[in-house]
Amino acid sequence: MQWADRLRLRWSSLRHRSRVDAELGDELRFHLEQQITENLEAGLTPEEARYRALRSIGGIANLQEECRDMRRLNLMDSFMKDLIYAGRTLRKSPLFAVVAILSLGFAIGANAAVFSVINRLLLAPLRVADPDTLVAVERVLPAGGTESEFPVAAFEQFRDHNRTFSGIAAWASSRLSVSLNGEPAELVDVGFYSGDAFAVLGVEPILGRTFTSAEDHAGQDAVAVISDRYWRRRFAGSETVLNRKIETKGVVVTIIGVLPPGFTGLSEMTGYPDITLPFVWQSRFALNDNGVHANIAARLSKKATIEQAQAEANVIFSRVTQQLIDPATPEDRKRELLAQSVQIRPAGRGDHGQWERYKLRLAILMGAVAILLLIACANVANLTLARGAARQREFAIRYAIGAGRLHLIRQLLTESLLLGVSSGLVGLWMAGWARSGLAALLGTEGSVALDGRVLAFTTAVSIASVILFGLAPAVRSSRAGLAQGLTGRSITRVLSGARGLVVA
Amino acid sequence: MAKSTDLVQGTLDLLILKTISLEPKHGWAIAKRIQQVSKEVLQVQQGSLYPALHRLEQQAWIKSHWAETETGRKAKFYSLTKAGRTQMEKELASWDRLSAGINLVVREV
Repeated sequence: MQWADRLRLRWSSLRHRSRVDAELGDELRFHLEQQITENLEAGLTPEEARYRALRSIGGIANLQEECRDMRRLNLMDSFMKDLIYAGRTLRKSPLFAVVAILSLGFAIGANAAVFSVINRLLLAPLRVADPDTLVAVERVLPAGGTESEFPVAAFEQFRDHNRTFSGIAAWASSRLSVSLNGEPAELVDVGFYSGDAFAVLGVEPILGRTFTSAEDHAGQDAVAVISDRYWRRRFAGSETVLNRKIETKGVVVTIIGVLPPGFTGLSEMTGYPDITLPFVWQSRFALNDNGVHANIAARLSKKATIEQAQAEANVIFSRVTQQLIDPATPEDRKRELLAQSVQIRPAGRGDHGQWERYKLRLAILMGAVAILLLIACANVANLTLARGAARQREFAIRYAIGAGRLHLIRQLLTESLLLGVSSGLVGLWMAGWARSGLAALLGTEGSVALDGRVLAFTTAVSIASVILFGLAPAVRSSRAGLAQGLTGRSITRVLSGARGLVVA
Repeated sequence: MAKSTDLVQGTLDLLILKTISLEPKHGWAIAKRIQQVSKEVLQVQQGSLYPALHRLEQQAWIKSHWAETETGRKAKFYSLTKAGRTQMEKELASWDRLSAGINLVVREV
């Protein structure tokens, strides 16, 4: 098996090389023959013609080497050789390789897993159409902090008077006890979305339809769309779900559609709704003490910037606040209300609410796994140093037969690179099953995907750790007593130098 | 490592690019053409021509293919790529500037 691998690697690099070399040979032979022909035409004897042509072309081997350099073939070639050599030395000490790869891999995996959660909460786009033009409207409180809920009257003013949004939707959420087929009631996350919310978000149902603005009026029959998750859990993903009835607080609600699996709501703090009703039903169902309220999501129109939208929203909001204030309100409370302003932030990426809620925990976790990675790097650096000490004789011999110091460093770094890449792969595999546990631990909703960003992060971490654990030992090993290496006395000295690095 | 010192450093690239800008040519024809057009003033050594061709190809300024010559022999023909044409324009402009500058200095008095 080893031999087969080695042979295959050799063969592929050789084949690549020999094809280019053969072409080069043909090319130069053609040139030579043209030159000979010309010399013959000039009246030289065949021998003389050939001799002069050969002389004009100079050393063919030299020329080939130079062309190969130009193609960076030699660089590739020596890298491949280094890689093969590195693989061979690692196989010779399997215990070292396994320990190094596992400890580094575990640390890289932990980093990748935590990053994938951060990625999901901070960076990953919402599953809505064109996430980058979706914004959220928020109140900035004079005491600091923000609040996402508005009086419904404010939402209506925004909706009717803004010129910077191409669409605006109100939504709220709550929990309701819902019963199905007369079974015992179950507590379910419920959303209330204004009639055009799904059109504004660009979310299409995978089954049935979403409700219309006409159904978002008092006096209409109650209709609802359900989440893909709820559909699978309670209806086993059956298509007969349409027109089924659910009952909550004495109202019979007809199911008219199922939302796609990626859409987890606009979940500010609340998780994602399994049942979504038209916004008007909030006043009938909501448990909220401070009455009916609206969270606001909007689409920035193509011509408007966030700053323009924010300036306009502030004008509208201060007007509506003045109208809404009860004259009997105490003066200081009045001032506080009027001191509020509005801010508009991008809402199409990540999950702002959950991020706000988990950022401290995530920062602590990220710090912990970063330290874990540092410790792992230090340990592997230690192992590499110790190995370097044991390999002094090998380095000394290689140095003696003509390898430069830079080449030795490159060789050692290639070994580290091989370790790092293997560890990265192990890390990705570990992150794959760690992330679901991590998501559960944090209580975040939705799937945590390993996407391109996580992959890029893992690669960067692996390379950084290679530099971290590989460079110092490589430089040190190549320097420490190249001459004494052959006498076999330097080992203790190098080891004592390594003591400064012992961590765990 | 016999490098031609007859040519100003860097001008060989320009000569090659210009020579194959009209039609694809093989290495020997490029050398001959440069020699002819310059009325035998410029002699391109093989030792610098082929490495230069391979370097230019590596930079994707020229590309190569095998084809038959008029005499029915197989030869490696080089032709200009789009990036190569841009590069040629750039080097031409800088050559014009350079040679004009040198002329101004050496023809003075």
